[in-house]
Amino acid sequence: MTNNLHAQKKIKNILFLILIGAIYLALNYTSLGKETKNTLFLASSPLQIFLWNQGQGINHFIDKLKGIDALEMEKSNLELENERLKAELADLLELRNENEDLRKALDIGLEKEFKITMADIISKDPLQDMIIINKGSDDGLLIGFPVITPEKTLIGKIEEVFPNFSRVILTSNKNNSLSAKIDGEEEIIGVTKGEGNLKIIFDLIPHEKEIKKGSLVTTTSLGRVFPKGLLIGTIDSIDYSDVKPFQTAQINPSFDFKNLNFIFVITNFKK
Amino acid sequence: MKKVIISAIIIYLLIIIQTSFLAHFKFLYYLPNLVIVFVILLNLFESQQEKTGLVISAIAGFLLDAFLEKPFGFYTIILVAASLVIKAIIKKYLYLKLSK
Repeated sequence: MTNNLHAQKKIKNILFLILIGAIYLALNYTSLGKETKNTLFLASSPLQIFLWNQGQGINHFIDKLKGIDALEMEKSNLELENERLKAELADLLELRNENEDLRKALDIGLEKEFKITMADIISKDPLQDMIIINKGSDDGLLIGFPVITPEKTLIGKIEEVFPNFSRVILTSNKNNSLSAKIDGEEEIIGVTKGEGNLKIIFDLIPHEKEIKKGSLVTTTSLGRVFPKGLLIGTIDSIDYSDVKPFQTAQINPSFDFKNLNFIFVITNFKK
Repeated sequence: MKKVIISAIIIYLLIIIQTSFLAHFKFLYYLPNLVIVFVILLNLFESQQEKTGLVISAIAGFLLDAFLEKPFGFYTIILVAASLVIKAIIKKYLYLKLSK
Protein backbone atom coordinates (compact mmCIF):
# COMPACT_ATOMS: atom_id res chain seq x y z
CA MET A 1 0.00 0.00 0.00
CA THR A 2 2.76 2.45 0.99
CA ASN A 3 4.75 1.41 -2.11
CA ASN A 4 1.74 2.19 -4.25
CA LEU A 5 1.37 5.64 -2.67
CA HIS A 6 5.08 6.26 -3.09
CA ALA A 7 4.93 5.35 -6.80
CA GLN A 8 1.89 7.58 -7.31
CA LYS A 9 3.71 10.49 -5.69
CA LYS A 10 6.72 9.88 -7.92
CA ILE A 11 4.55 9.85 -11.06
CA LYS A 12 2.87 13.09 -9.92
CA ASN A 13 6.28 14.74 -9.43
CA ILE A 14 7.50 13.61 -12.87
CA LEU A 15 4.28 14.87 -14.51
CA PHE A 16 4.69 18.20 -12.70
CA LEU A 17 8.26 18.57 -13.94
CA ILE A 18 7.18 17.70 -17.53
CA LEU A 19 4.43 20.33 -17.28
CA ILE A 20 6.89 22.98 -16.05
CA GLY A 21 9.31 22.03 -18.86
CA ALA A 22 6.51 22.35 -21.43
CA ILE A 23 5.53 25.79 -20.09
CA TYR A 24 9.13 27.02 -20.32
CA LEU A 25 9.49 25.63 -23.86
CA ALA A 26 6.27 27.40 -24.84
CA LEU A 27 7.58 30.64 -23.28
CA ASN A 28 10.80 30.42 -25.28
CA TYR A 29 9.55 29.17 -28.62
CA THR A 30 6.16 30.89 -28.99
CA SER A 31 5.01 34.48 -28.74
CA LEU A 32 3.83 33.72 -25.19
CA GLY A 33 7.27 34.62 -23.82
CA LYS A 34 7.29 38.05 -25.46
CA GLU A 35 3.71 38.69 -24.35
CA THR A 36 4.58 37.72 -20.76
CA LYS A 37 7.61 40.03 -20.73
CA ASN A 38 5.60 42.83 -22.34
CA THR A 39 2.80 42.49 -19.76
CA LEU A 40 5.28 42.55 -16.88
CA PHE A 41 7.06 45.61 -18.31
CA LEU A 42 3.70 47.30 -18.90
CA ALA A 43 2.62 46.68 -15.30
CA SER A 44 5.97 47.82 -13.89
CA SER A 45 6.73 50.75 -16.18
CA PRO A 46 5.08 53.52 -14.06
CA LEU A 47 7.13 52.45 -11.02
CA GLN A 48 10.25 51.93 -13.16
CA ILE A 49 9.96 55.38 -14.77
CA PHE A 50 9.44 56.94 -11.31
CA LEU A 51 12.49 55.12 -9.87
CA TRP A 52 14.60 55.89 -12.96
CA ASN A 53 13.85 59.63 -12.59
CA GLN A 54 14.49 59.55 -8.83
CA GLY A 55 17.80 57.71 -9.33
CA GLN A 56 18.80 60.24 -11.97
CA GLY A 57 17.98 63.14 -9.64
CA ILE A 58 19.84 61.70 -6.65
CA ASN A 59 22.86 60.80 -8.79
CA HIS A 60 22.89 64.34 -10.15
CA PHE A 61 22.80 65.74 -6.63
CA ILE A 62 25.67 63.48 -5.46
CA ASP A 63 27.72 64.51 -8.48
CA LYS A 64 27.10 68.18 -7.72
CA LEU A 65 28.29 67.69 -4.14
CA LYS A 66 31.40 65.88 -5.33
CA GLY A 67 32.09 68.46 -7.98
CA ILE A 68 32.24 71.66 -5.91
CA ASP A 69 36.01 71.36 -5.33
CA ALA A 70 36.73 70.48 -8.90
CA LEU A 71 34.50 73.26 -10.22
CA GLU A 72 37.13 75.99 -10.03
CA MET A 73 39.66 73.87 -11.90
CA GLU A 74 37.03 72.93 -14.47
CA LYS A 75 36.12 76.59 -14.95
CA SER A 76 39.64 77.56 -15.93
CA ASN A 77 39.92 74.52 -18.18
CA LEU A 78 36.63 75.40 -19.82
CA GLU A 79 37.76 78.95 -20.44
CA LEU A 80 40.79 77.63 -22.29
CA GLU A 81 38.62 75.14 -24.15
CA ASN A 82 36.23 77.97 -25.01
CA GLU A 83 39.00 79.96 -26.64
CA ARG A 84 40.08 76.96 -28.66
CA LEU A 85 36.50 76.21 -29.70
CA LYS A 86 35.93 79.79 -30.81
CA ALA A 87 38.82 79.42 -33.20
CA GLU A 88 37.45 76.09 -34.40
CA LEU A 89 33.98 77.59 -34.79
CA ALA A 90 35.27 80.18 -37.19
CA ASP A 91 36.69 77.39 -39.35
CA LEU A 92 33.50 75.41 -39.09
CA LEU A 93 31.31 78.32 -40.12
CA GLU A 94 33.32 78.58 -43.26
CA LEU A 95 32.94 74.87 -43.84
CA ARG A 96 29.19 75.03 -43.14
CA ASN A 97 28.67 77.59 -45.84
CA GLU A 98 30.61 75.41 -48.20
CA ASN A 99 28.59 72.35 -47.10
CA GLU A 100 25.27 74.15 -47.60
CA ASP A 101 26.27 75.08 -51.11
CA LEU A 102 27.21 71.48 -51.82
CA ARG A 103 23.94 70.20 -50.30
CA LYS A 104 21.97 72.53 -52.50
CA ALA A 105 23.93 71.32 -55.45
CA LEU A 106 23.33 67.66 -54.58
CA ASP A 107 19.73 68.23 -53.32
CA ILE A 108 20.30 66.49 -49.98
CA GLY A 109 18.28 67.58 -46.93
CA LEU A 110 19.14 66.48 -43.42
CA GLU A 111 15.45 66.13 -42.62
CA LYS A 112 15.24 63.55 -45.37
CA GLU A 113 18.09 61.59 -43.81
CA PHE A 114 16.21 59.97 -40.94
CA LYS A 115 12.89 59.87 -39.16
CA ILE A 116 13.01 59.58 -35.37
CA THR A 117 10.80 58.32 -32.55
CA MET A 118 11.19 59.57 -28.99
CA ALA A 119 11.29 57.09 -26.09
CA ASP A 120 11.96 57.00 -22.35
CA ILE A 121 14.47 54.68 -20.67
CA ILE A 122 12.77 52.60 -18.00
CA SER A 123 15.54 50.30 -16.78
CA LYS A 124 19.10 49.07 -17.22
CA ASP A 125 20.23 45.47 -16.92
CA PRO A 126 22.51 45.25 -13.83
CA LEU A 127 24.68 42.53 -15.36
CA GLN A 128 24.95 43.71 -18.95
CA ASP A 129 25.02 46.98 -20.84
CA MET A 130 21.42 46.85 -21.98
CA ILE A 131 18.49 49.17 -21.40
CA ILE A 132 14.72 48.90 -21.81
CA ILE A 133 12.85 51.71 -23.55
CA ASN A 134 9.09 52.30 -23.51
CA LYS A 135 8.47 52.01 -27.26
CA GLY A 136 8.09 48.77 -29.18
CA SER A 137 6.78 47.11 -32.31
CA ASP A 138 3.39 48.86 -31.89
CA ASP A 139 5.27 52.14 -32.42
CA GLY A 140 6.97 50.84 -35.54
CA LEU A 141 10.29 49.86 -33.99
CA LEU A 142 12.24 46.94 -35.42
CA ILE A 143 15.35 45.00 -34.44
CA GLY A 144 18.55 46.79 -35.51
CA PHE A 145 17.22 50.37 -35.40
CA PRO A 146 19.92 52.77 -34.11
CA VAL A 147 19.27 54.56 -30.81
CA ILE A 148 20.72 58.04 -30.26
CA THR A 149 20.65 60.87 -27.71
CA PRO A 150 19.11 64.27 -28.56
CA GLU A 151 22.72 65.42 -29.21
CA LYS A 152 23.07 62.73 -31.90
CA THR A 153 25.37 60.55 -29.83
CA LEU A 154 25.03 56.87 -30.54
CA ILE A 155 23.73 54.82 -27.60
CA GLY A 156 23.28 51.46 -29.31
CA LYS A 157 20.80 49.52 -31.35
CA ILE A 158 17.58 47.65 -30.74
CA GLU A 159 18.24 44.00 -29.91
CA GLU A 160 14.74 42.74 -29.11
CA VAL A 161 11.28 44.23 -29.57
CA PHE A 162 8.11 43.64 -27.59
CA PRO A 163 4.75 45.23 -28.47
CA ASN A 164 5.24 48.20 -26.10
CA PHE A 165 8.91 47.96 -25.11
CA SER A 166 12.31 47.32 -26.67
CA ARG A 167 15.63 46.09 -25.39
CA VAL A 168 18.58 48.20 -26.53
CA ILE A 169 22.13 46.80 -26.64
CA LEU A 170 24.53 49.64 -25.76
CA THR A 171 27.72 50.36 -27.72
CA SER A 172 29.58 49.36 -24.54
CA ASN A 173 27.99 45.88 -24.41
CA LYS A 174 30.51 43.04 -24.76
CA ASN A 175 28.56 41.62 -27.72
CA ASN A 176 28.55 44.89 -29.62
CA SER A 177 31.23 45.95 -32.08
CA LEU A 178 30.96 48.44 -34.89
CA SER A 179 33.01 50.19 -37.49
CA ALA A 180 34.20 53.64 -36.41
CA LYS A 181 36.60 56.38 -37.37
CA ILE A 182 38.50 59.35 -36.04
CA ASP A 183 38.23 62.41 -38.25
CA GLY A 184 41.17 64.70 -38.55
CA GLU A 185 43.97 65.54 -40.91
CA GLU A 186 44.23 61.83 -41.49
CA GLU A 187 41.14 59.62 -41.15
CA ILE A 188 41.71 56.62 -38.87
CA ILE A 189 39.33 53.72 -39.36
CA GLY A 190 38.98 50.99 -36.75
CA VAL A 191 36.46 48.97 -34.82
CA THR A 192 34.88 49.84 -31.46
CA LYS A 193 34.26 46.95 -29.11
CA GLY A 194 32.19 47.06 -25.96
CA GLU A 195 33.88 45.94 -22.78
CA GLY A 196 30.91 46.14 -20.42
CA ASN A 197 30.40 48.56 -17.53
CA LEU A 198 30.03 51.45 -19.99
CA LYS A 199 33.57 50.99 -21.34
CA ILE A 200 34.45 50.91 -25.04
CA ILE A 201 37.76 50.25 -26.78
CA PHE A 202 38.81 51.38 -30.22
CA ASP A 203 40.63 48.46 -31.81
CA LEU A 204 42.34 47.40 -35.05
CA ILE A 205 44.17 50.71 -35.47
CA PRO A 206 47.35 50.32 -37.53
CA HIS A 207 50.61 51.13 -35.68
CA GLU A 208 51.59 53.90 -38.06
CA LYS A 209 48.47 55.96 -37.26
CA GLU A 210 48.85 58.56 -34.57
CA ILE A 211 45.89 58.93 -32.22
CA LYS A 212 45.45 61.97 -30.01
CA LYS A 213 43.78 61.97 -26.63
CA GLY A 214 40.41 63.70 -26.83
CA SER A 215 39.83 62.90 -30.52
CA LEU A 216 36.21 62.29 -31.45
CA VAL A 217 35.22 58.79 -32.54
CA THR A 218 32.26 58.63 -34.91
CA THR A 219 30.39 55.91 -36.78
CA THR A 220 31.06 55.02 -40.39
CA SER A 221 28.59 53.71 -42.89
CA LEU A 222 30.65 50.52 -43.29
CA GLY A 223 28.58 47.47 -42.43
CA ARG A 224 25.44 49.54 -43.00
CA VAL A 225 24.36 49.16 -39.40
CA PHE A 226 24.47 52.81 -38.33
CA PRO A 227 24.28 56.12 -40.19
CA LYS A 228 27.70 57.69 -40.56
CA GLY A 229 28.82 60.61 -38.42
CA LEU A 230 27.11 59.71 -35.14
CA LEU A 231 29.34 60.45 -32.16
CA ILE A 232 30.43 57.41 -30.12
CA GLY A 233 32.84 59.03 -27.67
CA THR A 234 36.22 60.62 -27.16
CA ILE A 235 39.63 58.94 -26.91
CA ASP A 236 40.55 58.62 -23.26
CA SER A 237 43.85 56.70 -23.29
CA ILE A 238 45.99 54.94 -25.89
CA ASP A 239 47.46 51.46 -25.48
CA TYR A 240 50.45 51.17 -27.81
CA SER A 241 52.41 47.93 -27.76
CA ASP A 242 54.98 46.64 -30.25
CA VAL A 243 53.98 43.09 -29.42
CA LYS A 244 50.38 43.56 -30.51
CA PRO A 245 49.58 43.69 -34.23
CA PHE A 246 47.36 46.75 -33.74
CA GLN A 247 47.16 49.58 -31.26
CA THR A 248 44.05 50.09 -29.15
CA ALA A 249 42.53 53.05 -27.33
CA GLN A 250 40.02 53.46 -24.55
CA ILE A 251 36.95 55.46 -25.52
CA ASN A 252 35.05 57.59 -23.06
CA PRO A 253 31.39 57.15 -24.16
CA SER A 254 29.68 60.47 -24.86
CA PHE A 255 26.29 59.41 -23.52
CA ASP A 256 25.65 59.71 -19.82
CA PHE A 257 22.52 58.26 -18.25
CA LYS A 258 22.38 60.91 -15.56
CA ASN A 259 21.70 63.56 -18.17
CA LEU A 260 19.45 61.49 -20.39
CA ASN A 261 15.75 62.11 -19.95
CA PHE A 262 14.74 60.62 -23.28
CA ILE A 263 16.33 59.05 -26.31
CA PHE A 264 15.56 58.86 -30.03
CA VAL A 265 15.24 55.81 -32.24
CA ILE A 266 16.04 56.27 -35.92
CA THR A 267 13.16 54.51 -37.63
CA ASN A 268 13.88 55.00 -41.30
CA PHE A 269 17.63 54.70 -41.59
CA LYS A 270 18.36 53.74 -45.18
CA LYS A 271 20.86 50.89 -45.20
CA MET B 1 2.11 30.55 1.51
CA LYS B 2 2.33 33.95 3.19
CA LYS B 3 6.15 33.66 3.18
CA VAL B 4 6.14 32.86 -0.56
CA ILE B 5 3.92 35.84 -1.44
CA ILE B 6 5.95 38.28 0.69
CA SER B 7 9.22 36.95 -0.77
CA ALA B 8 7.86 37.24 -4.33
CA ILE B 9 6.93 40.89 -3.69
CA ILE B 10 10.39 41.58 -2.20
CA ILE B 11 12.08 39.89 -5.20
CA TYR B 12 9.96 41.90 -7.66
CA LEU B 13 10.84 45.14 -5.87
CA LEU B 14 14.54 44.22 -5.73
CA ILE B 15 14.60 43.66 -9.51
CA ILE B 16 12.82 46.96 -10.19
CA ILE B 17 15.05 48.88 -7.76
CA GLN B 18 18.27 47.38 -9.13
CA THR B 19 17.39 47.88 -12.79
CA SER B 20 15.76 51.32 -12.55
CA PHE B 21 17.15 53.07 -9.47
CA LEU B 22 20.59 51.66 -8.59
CA ALA B 23 21.59 51.53 -12.29
CA HIS B 24 22.45 55.24 -12.07
CA PHE B 25 25.19 54.94 -9.48
CA LYS B 26 28.60 54.21 -10.98
CA PHE B 27 30.04 52.97 -7.68
CA LEU B 28 27.36 50.26 -7.64
CA TYR B 29 28.22 48.76 -11.04
CA TYR B 30 29.92 45.80 -9.38
CA LEU B 31 27.04 45.23 -7.00
CA PRO B 32 25.96 41.57 -7.26
CA ASN B 33 22.48 40.67 -8.35
CA LEU B 34 20.44 41.40 -5.21
CA VAL B 35 17.82 38.77 -6.02
CA ILE B 36 20.42 36.00 -6.19
CA VAL B 37 21.90 37.15 -2.86
CA PHE B 38 18.41 37.27 -1.32
CA VAL B 39 17.51 33.77 -2.53
CA ILE B 40 20.83 32.27 -1.34
CA LEU B 41 20.46 33.84 2.11
CA LEU B 42 16.86 32.70 2.34
CA ASN B 43 17.86 29.11 1.56
CA LEU B 44 20.81 29.23 3.95
CA PHE B 45 18.76 30.32 6.92
CA GLU B 46 15.72 28.19 6.22
CA SER B 47 15.07 25.20 8.47
CA GLN B 48 15.96 21.81 7.00
CA GLN B 49 12.35 20.58 6.81
CA GLU B 50 11.01 23.59 4.93
CA LYS B 51 10.65 23.50 1.14
CA THR B 52 9.47 27.08 0.54
CA GLY B 53 13.06 28.12 -0.36
CA LEU B 54 12.80 26.00 -3.49
CA VAL B 55 9.48 27.54 -4.53
CA ILE B 56 10.83 31.06 -3.88
CA SER B 57 13.96 30.23 -5.94
CA ALA B 58 11.74 29.16 -8.85
CA ILE B 59 9.66 32.36 -8.60
CA ALA B 60 12.82 34.51 -8.40
CA GLY B 61 14.25 32.69 -11.42
CA PHE B 62 11.07 33.25 -13.41
CA LEU B 63 10.99 36.97 -12.57
CA LEU B 64 14.69 37.41 -13.44
CA ASP B 65 14.11 35.57 -16.73
CA ALA B 66 11.19 37.88 -17.48
CA PHE B 67 12.99 41.13 -16.69
CA LEU B 68 16.50 40.36 -17.94
CA GLU B 69 17.80 39.40 -21.35
CA LYS B 70 18.38 35.65 -20.88
CA PRO B 71 15.88 33.08 -22.26
CA PHE B 72 13.15 31.75 -19.98
CA GLY B 73 14.53 29.02 -17.75
CA PHE B 74 18.10 30.33 -17.46
CA TYR B 75 17.85 31.89 -14.00
CA THR B 76 15.13 29.46 -12.89
CA ILE B 77 17.44 26.48 -13.40
CA ILE B 78 20.41 28.28 -11.80
CA LEU B 79 18.48 29.39 -8.73
CA VAL B 80 16.62 26.10 -8.19
CA ALA B 81 19.90 24.19 -8.59
CA ALA B 82 21.63 26.58 -6.16
CA SER B 83 18.80 26.09 -3.69
CA LEU B 84 19.05 22.27 -3.98
CA VAL B 85 22.84 22.37 -3.53
CA ILE B 86 22.54 24.59 -0.42
CA LYS B 87 19.92 22.26 1.05
CA ALA B 88 22.05 19.18 0.29
CA ILE B 89 25.14 20.76 1.89
CA ILE B 90 23.23 21.79 4.99
CA LYS B 91 21.65 18.33 5.29
CA LYS B 92 24.98 16.55 4.90
CA TYR B 93 27.36 18.71 6.88
CA LEU B 94 25.29 20.69 9.36
CA TYR B 95 23.45 19.04 12.21
CA LEU B 96 21.60 21.87 13.79
CA LYS B 97 19.02 21.06 16.43
CA LEU B 98 16.97 23.96 17.60
CA SER B 99 16.08 23.82 21.26
CA LYS B 100 12.36 23.69 21.92
